[in-house]
Amino acid sequence: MQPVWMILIPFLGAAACLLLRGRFVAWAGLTASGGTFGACLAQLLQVWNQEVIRIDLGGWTTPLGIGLYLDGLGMMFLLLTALVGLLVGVYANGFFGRAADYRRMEPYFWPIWLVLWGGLNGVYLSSDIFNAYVLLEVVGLAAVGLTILSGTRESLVAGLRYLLAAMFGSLIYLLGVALLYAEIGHLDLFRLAEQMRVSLPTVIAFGLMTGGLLIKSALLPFHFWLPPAHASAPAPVSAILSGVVTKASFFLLLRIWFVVFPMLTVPLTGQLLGMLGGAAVLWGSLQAVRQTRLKLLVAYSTVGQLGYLFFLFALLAPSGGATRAEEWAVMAWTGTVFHVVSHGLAKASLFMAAGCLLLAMDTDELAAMPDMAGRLPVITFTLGVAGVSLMGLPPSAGFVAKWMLLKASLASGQWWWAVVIALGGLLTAAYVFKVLAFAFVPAARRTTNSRSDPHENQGALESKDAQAVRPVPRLMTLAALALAVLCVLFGFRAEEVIALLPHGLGLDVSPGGLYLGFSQGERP
Amino acid sequence: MLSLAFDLLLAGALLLVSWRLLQASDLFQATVLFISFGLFLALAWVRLQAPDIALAEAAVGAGLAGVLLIGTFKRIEPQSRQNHDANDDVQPPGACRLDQAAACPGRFHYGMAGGCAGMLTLLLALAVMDLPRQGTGLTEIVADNLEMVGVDHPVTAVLLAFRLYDTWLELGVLLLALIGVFGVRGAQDLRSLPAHPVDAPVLRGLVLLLGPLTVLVTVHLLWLGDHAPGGAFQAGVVLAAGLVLFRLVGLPSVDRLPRVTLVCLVVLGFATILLLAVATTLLSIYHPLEYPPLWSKTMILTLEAAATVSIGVTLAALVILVLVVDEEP
Repeated sequence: MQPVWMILIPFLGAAACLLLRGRFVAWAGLTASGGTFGACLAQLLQVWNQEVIRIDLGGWTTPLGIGLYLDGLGMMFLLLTALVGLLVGVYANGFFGRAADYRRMEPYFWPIWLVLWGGLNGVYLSSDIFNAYVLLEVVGLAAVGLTILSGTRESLVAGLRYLLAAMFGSLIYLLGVALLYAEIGHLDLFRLAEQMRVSLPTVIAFGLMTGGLLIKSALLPFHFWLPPAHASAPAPVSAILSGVVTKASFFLLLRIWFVVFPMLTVPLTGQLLGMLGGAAVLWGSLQAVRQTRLKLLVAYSTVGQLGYLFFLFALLAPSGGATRAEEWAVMAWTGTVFHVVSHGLAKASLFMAAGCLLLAMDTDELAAMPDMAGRLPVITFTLGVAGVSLMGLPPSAGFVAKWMLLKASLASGQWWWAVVIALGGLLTAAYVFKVLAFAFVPAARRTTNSRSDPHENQGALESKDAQAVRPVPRLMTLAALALAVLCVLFGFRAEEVIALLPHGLGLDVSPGGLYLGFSQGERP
Repeated sequence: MLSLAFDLLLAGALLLVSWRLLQASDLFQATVLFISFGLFLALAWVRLQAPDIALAEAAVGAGLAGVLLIGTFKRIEPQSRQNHDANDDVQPPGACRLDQAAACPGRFHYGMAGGCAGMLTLLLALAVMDLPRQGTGLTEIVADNLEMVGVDHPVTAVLLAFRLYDTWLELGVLLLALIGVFGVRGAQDLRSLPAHPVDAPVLRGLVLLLGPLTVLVTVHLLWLGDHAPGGAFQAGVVLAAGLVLFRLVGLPSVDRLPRVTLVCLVVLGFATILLLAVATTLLSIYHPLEYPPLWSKTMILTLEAAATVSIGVTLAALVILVLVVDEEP
């Protein structure tokens, strides 16, 4: 099984979707989704047995050609994308089959999404910094294309802002790539790592590449484009954008920091990223608590939850990326990867549930939701289960993620991150319970509970009284529920993930860092 | 000496035009300045001995982007306020003058942006001074491996052989841009857009004469890529320019194509490389995306021809879609 199939199958599906018409588009798209998922499982088996996989495209070896590289870390991201992708596909099939307004989008949703999926898989497989830039462009442009799919004024404005931010980020990153190529003369991650030296051009390239990727990952000062874009897109698109697309640039950031520039990650830069992450956790969660619309709330929650990912840089930076055999380094890595997966699954599930609500009630105003638990039990249950994982309550993957990060920050002596993690958990609980509170309010008591925005609520409630809840296709609610349940079940699989991760990460390999681990694993 | 004077003049002109562009308060003026900036930049690329980039910059940066900008300008200019239709809601009309709109950046924003840009320029200048004098790049390795590819021009070898994967993905980006625009504009058929035949027989005659010439230049540029600067992208851009010209004077162009044909032509370049990738991955004797030995030159030309058609048709369709909007009554 070649990892190339992870890119080829979605692209084949996209080409087929473009050429087909009518219902065939959705069937071709679903087939391609299933195929990609199957290929991903086969790949998982291969990575499990074999340490890392490396392929030279076109038969040209690395200084000349482009290599594909797959290790345990990349595999986890591939798996997350495949899980979310498959279920979003099932969900989208129901969603776009609903009304004429939605059916119009279907022939465009599928090809763009499949190209996006292929591009994401490409990012996780890439071992070339310029190739990664091209893939980021594919991912960014496809994400914008999906955002503006509905064509409403709101989504066009959000999409344009997203496009400009993403383009700016990519260009900054590309500037760094150009500087690095001029200084070192290579583009391959591992060849760069071998010849890395501390000089002014490499330091500036490091700053530029990190900055560009931070803009694309929507870390706090650069988060401005995210909430409107994610909230105004159609529900399956929001699930894709928040669940998986935000992870691509973070993955690249991991590669840049811990493979290419391990010697430049001094404590100061790591603490800076960690601080921005901490600010994102607190500020994003606070904003989420303040929202009155469900989709915006979930979108701001993404800003907050993404912040947790950046603690890794602060936790690992003091050791300079070189000696990371300490136990807490393993914990920090595992916690972060767990957070990536659990947030991806839970957030996709939340957006899908929000989409179901929107279909059922025509609004996602929280105030219009009284007695939702009685009328739409499955969706409410999904919101609850995904919320549990987001908060980090015990049986879920979110708990494992936050527990590991908490332990790692205490063990490494950086206790201040533990405070932020705890505070962030409390704020997350606040906004999850805010949603659930509205859902469980009995219909009779709603007027007393809608203080936050009286005149808006009145109108929403009046219209709510007039119409009953419209039925939502069973498959859609089940797809959302399946993601939420997967997220909880994933919490029981911590050992496998810990076993899978060090493949290629060099965690168990004594001093030498990533590229040492790579060279030992690669040429057996 | 003369060339140094020319270079200085060119650099001065670039700076002057970009400064005027930033100062311009009128969108139309800014557009025109942007186009002339693109032309000066193309000249700069020529001076840097990169004629292929110069051609692309002149055609895309100045030409097609200029047409797109002017098309957009016509759409949002204040005069169109009377006859703007319901779906014209991207930008409120009348927001043309940059210095009057309330949401426009003020002195503070300009100061911030200028400060950041200045810092970045300073750092970059320092970094560039620090770069090794002798190129550390892969130029020599590429030259050593040219024979195995079967083409004589290193740029073509890099784009179509060593880094074919990147080129393929770039074609994917182009494809995405068009599907994205289609997605927003809805299921609208290009053919249903109104055509406005231009009442100027001399112009039409001239453009008709240009038709065969465009095809000739396209094929020539495509063939040239084998041993000299040129290739699929340059050829495709020339083709696109010809197609746009045809549409502008009301002659049949890509907008007369049935939807399926249009999509087929647009996907052609991407799909050809996809097929190569699938075939080589299935046959386990090859690496993915590897050319069969001895066939590489033929394959490169085939892929380039397919890419040329796709690039030409996609760019032309993009421009025509934007231009036609303001013709709508």
